[in-house]
Amino acid sequence: MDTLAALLVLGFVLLVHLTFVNINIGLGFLSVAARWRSRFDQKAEEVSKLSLKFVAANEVVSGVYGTLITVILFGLWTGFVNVVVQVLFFALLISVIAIIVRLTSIAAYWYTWGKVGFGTHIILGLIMAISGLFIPAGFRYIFAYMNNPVGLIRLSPLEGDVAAALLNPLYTPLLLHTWVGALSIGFFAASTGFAWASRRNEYLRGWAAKTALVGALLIIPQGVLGFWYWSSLSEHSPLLFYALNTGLISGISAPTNVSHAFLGMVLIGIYLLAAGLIYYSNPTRVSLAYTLAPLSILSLYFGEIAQNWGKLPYLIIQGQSGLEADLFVNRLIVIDTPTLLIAVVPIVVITLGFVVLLYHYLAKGYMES
Amino acid sequence: MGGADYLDWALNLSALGIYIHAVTVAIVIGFSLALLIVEFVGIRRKDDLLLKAAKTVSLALLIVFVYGAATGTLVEFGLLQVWSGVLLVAGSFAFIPFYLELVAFVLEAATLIALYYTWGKFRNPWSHWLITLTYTFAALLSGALITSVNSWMQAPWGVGEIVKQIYPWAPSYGPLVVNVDFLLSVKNALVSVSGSAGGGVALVNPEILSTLTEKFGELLYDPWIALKSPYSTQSILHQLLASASVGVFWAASGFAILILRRRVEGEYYLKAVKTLSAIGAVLILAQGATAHWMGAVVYEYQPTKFALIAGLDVSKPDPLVGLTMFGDPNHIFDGFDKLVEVAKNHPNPSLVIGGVSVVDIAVADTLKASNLMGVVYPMYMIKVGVAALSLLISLAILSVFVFRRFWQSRLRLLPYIALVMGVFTPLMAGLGWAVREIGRKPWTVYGLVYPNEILTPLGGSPLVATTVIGGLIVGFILLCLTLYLVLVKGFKVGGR
Repeated sequence: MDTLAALLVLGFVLLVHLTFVNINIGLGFLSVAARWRSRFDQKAEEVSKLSLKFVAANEVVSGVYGTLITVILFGLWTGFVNVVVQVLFFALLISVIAIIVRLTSIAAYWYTWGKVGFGTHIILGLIMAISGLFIPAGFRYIFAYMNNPVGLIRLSPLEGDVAAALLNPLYTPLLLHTWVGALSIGFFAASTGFAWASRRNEYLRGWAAKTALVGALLIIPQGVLGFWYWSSLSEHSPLLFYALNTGLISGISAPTNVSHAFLGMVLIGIYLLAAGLIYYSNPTRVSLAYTLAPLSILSLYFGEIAQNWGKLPYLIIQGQSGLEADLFVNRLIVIDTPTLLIAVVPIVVITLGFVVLLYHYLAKGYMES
Repeated sequence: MGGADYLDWALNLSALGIYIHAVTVAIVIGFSLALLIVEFVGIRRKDDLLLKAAKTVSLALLIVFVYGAATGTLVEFGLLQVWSGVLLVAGSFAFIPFYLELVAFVLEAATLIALYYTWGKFRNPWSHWLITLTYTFAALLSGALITSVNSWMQAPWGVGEIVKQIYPWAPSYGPLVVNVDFLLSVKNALVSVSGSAGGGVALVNPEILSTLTEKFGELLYDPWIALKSPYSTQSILHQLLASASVGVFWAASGFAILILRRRVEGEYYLKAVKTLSAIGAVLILAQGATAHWMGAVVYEYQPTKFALIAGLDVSKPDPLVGLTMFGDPNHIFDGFDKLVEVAKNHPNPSLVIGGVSVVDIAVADTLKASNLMGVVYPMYMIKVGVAALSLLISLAILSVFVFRRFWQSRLRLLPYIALVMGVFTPLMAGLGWAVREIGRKPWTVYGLVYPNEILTPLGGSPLVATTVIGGLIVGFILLCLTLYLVLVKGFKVGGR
């Protein structure tokens, strides 16, 4: 099986999954914040409900794509799955438990609306929102492990230290960077959505401005955490650090140069900070708000591409070299590249059709509870 | 926890995981079929009560689908951690079924959401029914593809006569599309380390796999082979009908419970019970027909399992089976005495795998299989008994539509009948699946791989097993609670 084709399939599915996951983490908190606000502003309750409807819808897409990722990993990256699952099972368990809590709490928050006391409902909402943060809390261990395989003692025969794997020094900055980024993306996405909806509902203009402000302000800690992660890479994953900075810092180079993606992510971050603040100060500039969601998602793509493509030709980095991607790709069967890529087409078409219709119906208010 | 203890834990964990997941599978498949037919009849007859029942079924489907996806992830990672050697199958024989399953799963998720949220939104109700039809197709396709993977493990189609070389009583499993040198090399390694749990699975290691593929080339020449097996075709038919009948009768039981709770909308609930029970009865009758074909492929491709379910500790005739399969009530079926004898008189006794003589392997494994007689045979007999009763009850249900006057004053019995079938159908399906899985032992892949060979190489962790079991049970309780709150208590957003 062609390694590049296998990488492209996995990368595509991963990016779609991450898009909805990131938007949803922010929207979950927005729903709770709006619910809290509804104590003083009755109309905010509708904002909270609308946000929650999008959370539920996005959760379906991200959940389906999460399942696609596992199946693609099993089929295309067979050896890699074994190395990850054996060493990181407890880390993955964090995510799986969080998924169950998240889905349950979305249902509980949804179906107990108006049936339980306000405080209880807010608590349910907080459980829903916070559990959303814990889903990447498990999965990010895999990314930290790929950059710095703490806990992998020996590959052949496979031997690992499950406890040591949980103490990966890259994990904390990566996770915090992910959390703040996801919150920021979620609020920017909401801002764009509210700005669009404010054409018919003036009340939502204020929410568009406020969510843009929150999204923009989150860029500041995001920059600090990004710097922490970036400097941690220099110590624990030098090859990736070089890949990010080839051409930006003199004297370093890596087999794959992803500095353009890295720089693009940083520049978009700066733009989002400025655009968010400007839009907050002048919410009539709707065109500015329309750039927030797509660009924040683009910055996510640049970040993920920089981090994951920058490892190549390795899949797991060990210092300044690593274990090559070729080693992990499934060669038990021969699937030609066109077949592999064409097979993804129906998935893409169904997803596109589904997402467009879903958002259309949600925005039009067709999909009632 | 020692190797043998952990193996038992792992087997029990798998059984629990599969059974809990089977509940959601039965609901998804059965409810989708029920939804399709009930909505069809409702639109044709312009019957609002049936359409209301269909919408309720779709809500239950949506909830179960979400929980099924969540607990499915837990099962996926949990079982992979415990049975990591299964990756060898996932990356070869199961690759195409899994890949196609992705398409089916995406379609299933998309159309389920679409069908639930677009009730009453179309001017032409048949437009909505087309979405339901697409969804049902995707749900059934999904079930069929997963069953084909399990079927490959029951009858490893595509390995030709490789199994026969080890077990002379085995049949040929289709064309030879597997790299013999690669497979025998893997089997050699597996047998040589089979004394220690998890030793063999070290093979699922990027470096070792890479070395093997560099030395021998790919393992499998035809990735579509799992879908070409006759065992798979019959299993798909049999399993889908079984799952569908369970789901349909559960849906009928749900409405029956509401009738017995004396809810005000009695006519609506009774109509739902009547329609769903009729669908279930037809499925049971169809299931009866496919059972014969299923039995025929078990006879042909799993000699030890057939001996177990027919109680053949010694070779003897079975008049009924002999008559239906061969038109001869005196046909002698091979029992374990014959199978052991064939194993002892191995045509190639000098062959050695992993340092062990194939004669010793064949005799020991055949005897291991025969030791399961005390478990498998009674289970199968109970299943057959329940199936016979279910067939009679199904005929009684269908008579409601023929002898209308007779049933007019007795329709109040129908909810009780639905409840009985709501217990009988899962009992049949559960016992059937247990017979299917236990009857395959001592192998995980029939005639090729033992369970301990695919166990995790990192040693047993009771914490992992406990966590997965706990997660499954908690998930299942939450599912039941949600279904109760939404369907019985009528929870809606905003309490409206």
